[in-house]
Amino acid sequence: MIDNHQTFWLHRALHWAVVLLFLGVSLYFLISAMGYRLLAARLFPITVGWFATALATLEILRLIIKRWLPGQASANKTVAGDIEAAPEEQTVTFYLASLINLAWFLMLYGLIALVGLQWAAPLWIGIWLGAYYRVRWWLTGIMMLSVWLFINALHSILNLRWPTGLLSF
Amino acid sequence: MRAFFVGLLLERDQVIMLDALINGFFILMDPYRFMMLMAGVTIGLIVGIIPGLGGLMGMALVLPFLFGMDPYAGIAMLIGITAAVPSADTFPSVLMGIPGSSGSQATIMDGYPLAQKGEGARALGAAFAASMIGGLIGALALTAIVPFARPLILAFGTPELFMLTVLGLSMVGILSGKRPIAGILAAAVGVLLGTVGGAPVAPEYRNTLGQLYLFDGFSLVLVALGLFALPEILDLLARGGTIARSTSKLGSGWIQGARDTMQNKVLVVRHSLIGVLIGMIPGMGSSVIDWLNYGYVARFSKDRSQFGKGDIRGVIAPESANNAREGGVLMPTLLFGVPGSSAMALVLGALMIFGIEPGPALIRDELDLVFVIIWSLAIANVVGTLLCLLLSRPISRLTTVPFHFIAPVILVIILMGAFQETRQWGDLWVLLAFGVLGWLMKRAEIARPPLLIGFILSGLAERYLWMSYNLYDWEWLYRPIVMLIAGFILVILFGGWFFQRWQRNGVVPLSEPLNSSTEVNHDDR
Repeated sequence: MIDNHQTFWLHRALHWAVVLLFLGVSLYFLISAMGYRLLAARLFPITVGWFATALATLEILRLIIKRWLPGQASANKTVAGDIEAAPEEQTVTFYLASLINLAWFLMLYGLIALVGLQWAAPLWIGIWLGAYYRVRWWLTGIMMLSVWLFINALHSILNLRWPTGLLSF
Repeated sequence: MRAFFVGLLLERDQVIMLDALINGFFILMDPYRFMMLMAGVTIGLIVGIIPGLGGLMGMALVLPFLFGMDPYAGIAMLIGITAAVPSADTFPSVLMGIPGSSGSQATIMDGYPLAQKGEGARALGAAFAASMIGGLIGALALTAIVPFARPLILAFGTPELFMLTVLGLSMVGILSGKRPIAGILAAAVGVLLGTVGGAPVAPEYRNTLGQLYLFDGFSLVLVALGLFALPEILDLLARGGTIARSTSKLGSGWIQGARDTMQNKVLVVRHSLIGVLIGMIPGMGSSVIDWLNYGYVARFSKDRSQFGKGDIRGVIAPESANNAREGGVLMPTLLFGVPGSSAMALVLGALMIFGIEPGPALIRDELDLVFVIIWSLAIANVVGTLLCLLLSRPISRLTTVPFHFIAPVILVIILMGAFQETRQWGDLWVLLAFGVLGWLMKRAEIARPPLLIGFILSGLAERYLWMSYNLYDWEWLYRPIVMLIAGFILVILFGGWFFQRWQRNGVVPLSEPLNSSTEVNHDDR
């Protein structure tokens, strides 16, 4: 059973976070643009910077008004179902699962930094499937080998490069 | 005399067009380019059948590999993806009752009930035949419009080009869904992020944070991959399980399905033309076209008793419109450099990667490429549909593969692609940063395409504005075409608002309940 209050709280918090981030970015670009020597360099970012800052402020005002006006929050949930995420995707469990997966992605970054992508990718897939998803060892092995072959095939055909790690593989 | 010269000019124009049309075909028939088109079709089929991925992610995925590629081959590959997705996304809609992408929602209404009755093959057969004819009508419409639009476009100067970029930016209001302010804000932030690096009209570097890596600004490829690919993977993994939770049997009746389409040829042509016409309006997402066409056929048919229970016309109408839409969407993209949809923003980006300026310059200098695109669209539609028919059984089995097997492979391809950008670690960090931003935006229900469109059009807008100002001072604001485009922008902005009000009042059933929790990608294909 999905807790509607939990769903709404998470959604609201994220919306605030993104709008505040956009406000910060807009202000940063606006202030830095004022320091450019040439008009040709500063005219455009200053114009857009002001516009973006005004829009971010407007959105924050809208969020504040929505917060304090009764009935607004629920009214907002009813429109245009195709642009909303499903309610079960706005639970703490779902967000935590996404964060755990993001941590796994970061682990891949760490492995690349250590051994380079050529070896990190199959190694990470082995740990991912074997340890995290408990996939059978032979299936994991096939996946590891396939990815290793795929990377090397791309290297041979398209002459692609990839990051080498600290251990210089 | 005047009539003679006009006649002569028209004739010369026609010869140029015919020449480009034939040239375009032979350019595309080069084995390497044709192979790339087929690779695009294959990728389109794969991303189309996996709900939540869609053409936008598929295109973002191949964008890094376009560097150094022959422009014709690269663009053909992208068009192959965009043309194949509307056919492939029918599989999950019909067999699982979940939309493969935002443009196949309405197909569920009658396709899934048909599959539940054991007539999945008939529904798919009808859908693929309608898709193929719709796609061909879309390509034909695009071919027909180019000769008429060319003289108008060639009359455009820098001020008009600036207004066209503003027109492109103004469509974000429609792409922003229910949060127009947040969407326009995202577009403005995209424009600001596009100013990082060397200024286009002044010898000055902006917001580089002292990092040599940022002197060339953020790469379009990394921004697109980060915003669209990583968040989808994170969400699909978090959702867990297989792509399909339950799959209906295909059954038999492929020929019956194709025959159904042929028996409803007036319906196919009518809805294909509607698809082209609505597709021409920038920002009209595939879901809007899908539902509009379904609503139209369900409302105006004589016998409406079976709609929603398994009426084959409920499959044919949206599917033909959806594929025809691609032709319509390409019109503003190619002719004016205004992205007709989010996916077209990536096509514009790809053109820039190849050093080709989209819009009037494309029509003036690269007419062959325009026809390569049209040929690619037509051929990809036919091949994509035939492949869907041939591979329907293995494809329906692919949907039962758990996503945790597919995700790591896609992630590795993304990382490899991203690293080809400048071959520095900065590429991977920028990818991650935009990935996290994209995920936050998606979860906060702030549309991501506006940010991408703002980012793409930023440099062009700044350059054209400065050139217009230098050449004409502010007098350029009074030029007739400038004023005409300004009026059109107002229509787009306020028309979008009125359209949303219309939707909310239930005229267009955008909020039809779907029988699955699986997400509908709101970012449009």
